[in-house]
Amino acid sequence: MKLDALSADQFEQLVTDELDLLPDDMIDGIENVGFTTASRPDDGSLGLLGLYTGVALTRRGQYGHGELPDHIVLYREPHLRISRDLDDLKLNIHVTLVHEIGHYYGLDDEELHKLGWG
Amino acid sequence: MKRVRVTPAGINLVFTGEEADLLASVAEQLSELLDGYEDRDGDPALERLLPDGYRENADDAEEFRRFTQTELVGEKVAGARGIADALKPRTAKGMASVTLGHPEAVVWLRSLNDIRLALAARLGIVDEGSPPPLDDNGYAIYIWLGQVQFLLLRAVDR
Amino acid sequence: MADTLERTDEDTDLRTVVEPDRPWITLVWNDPVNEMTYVAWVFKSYFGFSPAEARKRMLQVHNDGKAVVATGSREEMERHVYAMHGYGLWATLQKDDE
Repeated sequence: MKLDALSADQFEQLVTDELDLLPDDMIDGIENVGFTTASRPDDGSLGLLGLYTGVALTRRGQYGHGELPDHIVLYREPHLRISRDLDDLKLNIHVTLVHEIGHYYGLDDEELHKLGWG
Repeated sequence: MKRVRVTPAGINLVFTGEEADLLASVAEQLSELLDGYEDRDGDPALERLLPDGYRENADDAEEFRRFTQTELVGEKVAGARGIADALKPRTAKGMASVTLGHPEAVVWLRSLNDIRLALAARLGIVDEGSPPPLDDNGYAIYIWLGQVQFLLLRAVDR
Repeated sequence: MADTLERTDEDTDLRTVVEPDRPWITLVWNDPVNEMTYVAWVFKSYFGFSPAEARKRMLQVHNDGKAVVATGSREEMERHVYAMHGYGLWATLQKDDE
């Protein structure tokens, strides 16, 4: 399959599958997080693969009072652009998910990098 | 609420067993409350869920109520029961995982809102100046329901 | 739903005679429970407003305490008020007094 032809639905399915494949200890600690996909970031750029918005667990005060839930969005076109083939795409989706979930747990980019999480 | 995600099959919501029990229970309570709408007798939650359609004319308000109320209550009760029923099955890990098509997700959004309205009336959240009842257990549920609704709305309205 | 809102011809005629030209409006009132994003989404999905228009009316509700969301016949406005109550928004209808 040619990757540029990958539809929004197909991308959603891959993200769903990769989420299911993440290790339990990474997923079980998640509370109140929304996952969605979009074709590209609001500014139209292709440089951003995913975005975490929220207050990381490590920086939260009393949980759940007035804070908006956390949200992770994965962008399809930037992923397609950097992926050679379907397996590569799956790997990239995996890395982005782990990276954004890492932010949820309060890890910064440098720590994530050290852990090999993107 | 563990997570909400958009899949090709619909919007998938995952709750812990405890959360699912809680949400099912408040949904059941809403449908029981609504079932008693005919003896509302100034109940603030029912007043808010089934408000007057006319503000200044009591006769018009009464007539509007007579023509619409049964159907409105029926819709709201069906929505709340739908939530409670959908949360019964559990996964091997004891979670509740519910996948909703677009029309069902809209019904959930409306029903979650009804539950919040009823809870708010009980908690005395009546205007912008109402102090948040931080010590009330119901308030934590109210805030949590708002978060579930927010995440679901974000998945519906993309 | 149309059935439950049907009125007798007599009622309609009487109103038409008394108030020939004044349209009716649907108002949505502010309340502290409904989230702003939810209200804007209701306006967008039910009335078909653009996201910008939906947001504008939602902010009007929030800042001014109320906003007109529809204008037309009494029967139409009753349908809208019914729909808004279904979404949990606090809506009423009245004759346009301007």
